[in-house]
Amino acid sequence: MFRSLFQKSQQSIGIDLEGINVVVLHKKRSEIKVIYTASGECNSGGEKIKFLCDFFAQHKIRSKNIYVAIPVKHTIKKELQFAAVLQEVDIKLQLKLEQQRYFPGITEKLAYDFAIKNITEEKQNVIVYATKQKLLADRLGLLCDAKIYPVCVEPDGFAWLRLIDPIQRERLTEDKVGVLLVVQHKIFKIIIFNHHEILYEHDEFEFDDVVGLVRRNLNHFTTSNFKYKLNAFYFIGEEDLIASLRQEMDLNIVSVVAVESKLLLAYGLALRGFDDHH
Amino acid sequence: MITINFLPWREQLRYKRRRWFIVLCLFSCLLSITVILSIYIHLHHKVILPIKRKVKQTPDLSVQKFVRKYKLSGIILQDQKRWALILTPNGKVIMVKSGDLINEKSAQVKQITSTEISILINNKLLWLKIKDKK
Repeated sequence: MFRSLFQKSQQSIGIDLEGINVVVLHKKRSEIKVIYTASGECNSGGEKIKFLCDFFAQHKIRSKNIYVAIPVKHTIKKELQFAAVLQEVDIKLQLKLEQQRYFPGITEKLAYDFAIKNITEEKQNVIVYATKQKLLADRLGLLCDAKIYPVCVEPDGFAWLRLIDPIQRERLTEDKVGVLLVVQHKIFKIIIFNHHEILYEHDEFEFDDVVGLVRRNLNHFTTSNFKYKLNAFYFIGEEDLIASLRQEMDLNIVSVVAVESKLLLAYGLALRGFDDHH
Repeated sequence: MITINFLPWREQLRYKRRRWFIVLCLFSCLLSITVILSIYIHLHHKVILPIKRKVKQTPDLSVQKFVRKYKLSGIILQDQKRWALILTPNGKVIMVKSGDLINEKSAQVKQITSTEISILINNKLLWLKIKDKK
């Protein structure tokens, strides 16, 4: 009984602000269920606010476990080195004070978060994600108008990866990497990852030749990362494309989520609420 | 897999608040238990115990009354047998041996020595001495 008090709330909400898609998940005894979903075509901010207000009021949602994504095109990923003695607070401060040094050419204020990749005796490698504070404030402002206060804003790649079985993800150790392809609703997304981090990510919104795009991105990744072996391919999207990918590229596609749904990103975001690692 | 959150303080704040809430709940539980216990102890000492004492005083009163009313006037010793002569409130002298009931059924003669007798009244042992015979 007391354990559940210290655990996260049993309800988790993922909001995909691009086009507005909402998924509410509920966890009961390690079983996760989708309880409410909503999908709307909202272009203006006002429409989005109204949609969200109506949805939350209609279902009387009170949970504050709200997760939101920020598209990869708005984020900057860097791997930086710091002295091993530096604590997380020091790194945070250093990033803030020396923004120009770490992110040259960006004059606007940035919002950061980072994760320590590995630590040696002298140095520590840190993966830093940054986004423009103004952009973040715009998104949060939109949600605040709808009286929604998210606890987390993360790059959307992490949400997509949560759709892959975590056991399969954990297998991708050392030089093995996995490739996630998302092709749906005029979105092309390729994420190359291992068990620990996202190594490469690319979005495309206007495309014709999926096979060409995949080939180009894989070439781009492999030319700069020799040590990695593409081990497993995961596919989310239309089934017709899988055959052509298999035929033309001879890809070893491990798993396929042949569901063409706008809600998948919101679902991946909501899953973070039940993630044990954060 | 690493986790990134551009609003880490919000998450931390939420967990901090939750922890505080749990601590507050536990503290209030502890406080209420302490209050209830102290009230119980207070009532027990100030109200219940005096009542119990009063209840217990009743046999003492009956013992006092008995001492005032009944007097040991003498003891008869004959070989192993012993009798006590007790002066009752109405002026009569009764002769009792150990195990006999005196007037009221609650008073019973337990032991007779050469100078005094013990009488059990409401589970209280009372000694009547022969010098009380005045």
